[in-house]
Amino acid sequence: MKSFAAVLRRELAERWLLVLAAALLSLIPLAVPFLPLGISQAPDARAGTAIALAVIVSYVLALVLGSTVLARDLSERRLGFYFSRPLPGWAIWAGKMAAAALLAFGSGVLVLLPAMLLGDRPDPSGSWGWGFGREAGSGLGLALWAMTVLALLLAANAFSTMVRSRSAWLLLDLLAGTVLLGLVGVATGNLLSARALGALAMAQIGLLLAVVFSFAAASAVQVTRARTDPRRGHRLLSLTLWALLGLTALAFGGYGQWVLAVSPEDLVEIGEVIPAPAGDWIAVGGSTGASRGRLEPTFLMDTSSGRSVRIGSQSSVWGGLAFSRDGRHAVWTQMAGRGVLPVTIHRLELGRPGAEPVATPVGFSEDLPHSLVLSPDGRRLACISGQRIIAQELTNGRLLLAAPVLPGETWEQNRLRFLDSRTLRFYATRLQGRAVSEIRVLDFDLDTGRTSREIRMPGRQAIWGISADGQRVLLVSLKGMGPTEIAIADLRSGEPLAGIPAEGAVNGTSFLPDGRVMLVRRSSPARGGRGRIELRLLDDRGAELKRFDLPGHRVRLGGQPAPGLLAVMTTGDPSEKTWRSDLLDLESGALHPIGEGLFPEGWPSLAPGSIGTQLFLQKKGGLVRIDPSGRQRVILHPES
Amino acid sequence: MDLVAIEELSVRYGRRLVLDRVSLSVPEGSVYVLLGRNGAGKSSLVRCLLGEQRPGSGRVRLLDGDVWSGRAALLREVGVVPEEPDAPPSMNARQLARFCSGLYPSWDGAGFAARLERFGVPPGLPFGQLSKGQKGQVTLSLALAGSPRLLILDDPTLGLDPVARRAVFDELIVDLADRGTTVFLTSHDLAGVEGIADRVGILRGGRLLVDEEMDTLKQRFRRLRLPTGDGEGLEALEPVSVTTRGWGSEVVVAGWDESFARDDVEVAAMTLEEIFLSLVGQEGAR
Repeated sequence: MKSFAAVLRRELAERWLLVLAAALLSLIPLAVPFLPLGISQAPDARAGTAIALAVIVSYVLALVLGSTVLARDLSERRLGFYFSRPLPGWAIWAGKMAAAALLAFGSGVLVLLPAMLLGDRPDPSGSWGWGFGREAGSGLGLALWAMTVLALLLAANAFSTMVRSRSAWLLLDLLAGTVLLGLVGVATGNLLSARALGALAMAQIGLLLAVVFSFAAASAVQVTRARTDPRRGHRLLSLTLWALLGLTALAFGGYGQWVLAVSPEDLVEIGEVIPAPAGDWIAVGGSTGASRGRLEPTFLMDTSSGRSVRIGSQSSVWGGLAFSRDGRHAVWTQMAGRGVLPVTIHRLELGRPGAEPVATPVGFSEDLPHSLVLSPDGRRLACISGQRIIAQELTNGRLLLAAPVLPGETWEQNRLRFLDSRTLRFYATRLQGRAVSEIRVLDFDLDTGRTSREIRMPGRQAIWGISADGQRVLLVSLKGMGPTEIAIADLRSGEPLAGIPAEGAVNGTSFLPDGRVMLVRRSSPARGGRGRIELRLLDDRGAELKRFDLPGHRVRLGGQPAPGLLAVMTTGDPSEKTWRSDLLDLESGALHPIGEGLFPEGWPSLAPGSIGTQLFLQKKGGLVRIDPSGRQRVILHPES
Repeated sequence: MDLVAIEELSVRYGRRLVLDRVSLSVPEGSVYVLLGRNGAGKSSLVRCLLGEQRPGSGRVRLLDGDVWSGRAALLREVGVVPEEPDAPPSMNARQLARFCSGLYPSWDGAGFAARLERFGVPPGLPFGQLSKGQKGQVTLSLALAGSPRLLILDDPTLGLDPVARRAVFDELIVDLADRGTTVFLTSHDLAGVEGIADRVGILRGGRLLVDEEMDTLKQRFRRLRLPTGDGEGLEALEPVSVTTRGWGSEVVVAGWDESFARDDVEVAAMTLEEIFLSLVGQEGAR
């Protein structure tokens, strides 16, 4: 250390004028508020100028010192001054590099100092917000700044050594540098395309550290092993540098591949599950662990075989996925480039074993499509994109419909349904405050591209449910904080079929697949009591068929894993930490327990026995399938 | 004990062989002078000796230690004067001494100051502003101030005027007399080193042509002047060069034997410079 300190001291002493220059530069930011630059806030102006100047000074010094501190001494044969004295090679290298780094970074800090002493901080919303933002004064910002100074210094030393040695190795350097930059560029592009931004940020920090280490190690080897021989120094520097950077690039690319080769088993948390209406396929999304940069992939997964197909990142594809009614087709949006737009519609034939996703001719470049629905035969796609309802043939991209959505911002209009392959139904609700003023339903004939029917239902009500055939809706009129009246309306006539008076708080209502209606009421718990849950089964005209009392004060309804058995999840725990799951026999009202902490992933309107009705999310995060016999099979078991 | 021991040292720059299996040793207390023309390999050998250059093959030991792996520790007892004074231009002699004083266990600050005074070098003037002679004097003073057991000088008088050259050798002689320092010296100043060398090595084309005691060398070399046609028995004296003159022949022999002395043969002793020129001088003439 004594040798290191001796070299460091000497190198610093030789360049002390730089410190003086930095001290003088630090006065410039103090003068900026007095200049006619149109910056109104003096602290903001000082801080911004100080940061900009500090960064420029430190980077320029890093480049200048990096290219001279070792490389010039070596080429001008002045390194012998140290090597002819009892100084270890590492102390010579470390002392010179540390001095250069201290001078470059320290000069930057010195430029910042007066403004910081005055308490100036850059305002992200002020004149400089576009430049450095919130990281400017943070520890992370300082660390990145210091790391960048070091990287520039070491890189400048390496390049200067290569150029000054004037050997043929320079050609190898150019070749190796180009190849490695290409490798890193491709890997970065792949991560960007997959929107694996968390993983990319992690990989880039790792890359920066590895690059700094590689340059440092290469220049250390250059000095300690080649000593005063410039050509040998260049050779050793290049060999070490490209070997380490090669490994780094391979690791970077390998990491990117590993991140992107994610499978459902790599999810540490399941975010959402969308089951196909029929068959064994589901769409499942979630997040991976920190090591994969918390990537949020989405998969189509065959729960019977375990086969999965990655369909894009959750953030871009969710809300942009649809199954056909028979569960044999799936379509989804997939980014066509590196940005969110444009997107292309991809499809997968779920019913064909081994089928691979294919891009369809349908694409969107201006607005992301949402509310995707597939016609029953899987050949037509409808969605809402921008301010239009769009329908297209998937096979050839032919436009079938491009109708404007209803004008005005108060419409909630995101529900589409194919009544058959020719007729597309569009449901819209106009909201005004908490009340509702109008419901409108439009039918489009896709063969003519015209509106074939329009139904208007004025009133203070909202759509709570749509029947499986799309022809009836559950309407809830709102008054105050909760629903007070429920009605069933027939869209063929546009008239209410029945009104269901809501006694007490109605917490939910839904059609069952056979057209019956399930209504959930919860009575307020008496003082010291636990309350009561009441399920009422109504026929398609609202007449009560059955009434079931459930234990607990909160309920969540699933689907019917087997016809006539409805999955219900209840809790009586005031803290709602423990839940029990049962199958409710809709005939007898008997409860068949299936376990604790099993959250049904389906909902009451799903076809009985379809995959969605049999999926449950375990409290510890696993996804299980429970068949009608009660046998549980783990589909996914995230390791959190 | 040999303070320098070089065995079968070879150095190659690319395809060019610069040193070819050179072996030599320098016993403690002696002065070894290595001679050779420019490009003979002297500086490469010195770089190997200082651990700056890794030998292609062979071994280089300094103070009985491997100099490549133990350079820093070994150089604590070695003073070095490079061919080109390489101190940072902004540092003056006083700052240089301060820097070096922490590196050598037996630093003699007073001796350093006294030498500078003897040389007449201003201690506060930046190294870059000193004359070439003064730079050499500062580096020699720095090398001697560490009270080294071994002094390695790479052509320390190169480019110096006669006065400065004389001052360098005078200082060396004083140190030799005072402390018996071992010296390894390369030089083109053959007249200057003749008075102090105990042993001489001559490099030619990377090969060590001569490596022997100064006295022995001078004993075996002679210049003979012979009448024309009187060369009988000359082969045994290992003639190095034969020059034909109007009055006869001038022959330099490397294996002089007193028994060859005859009245018609004029025998003259040779200076180191003459010996050197007779051995390597013809190369340039060709």
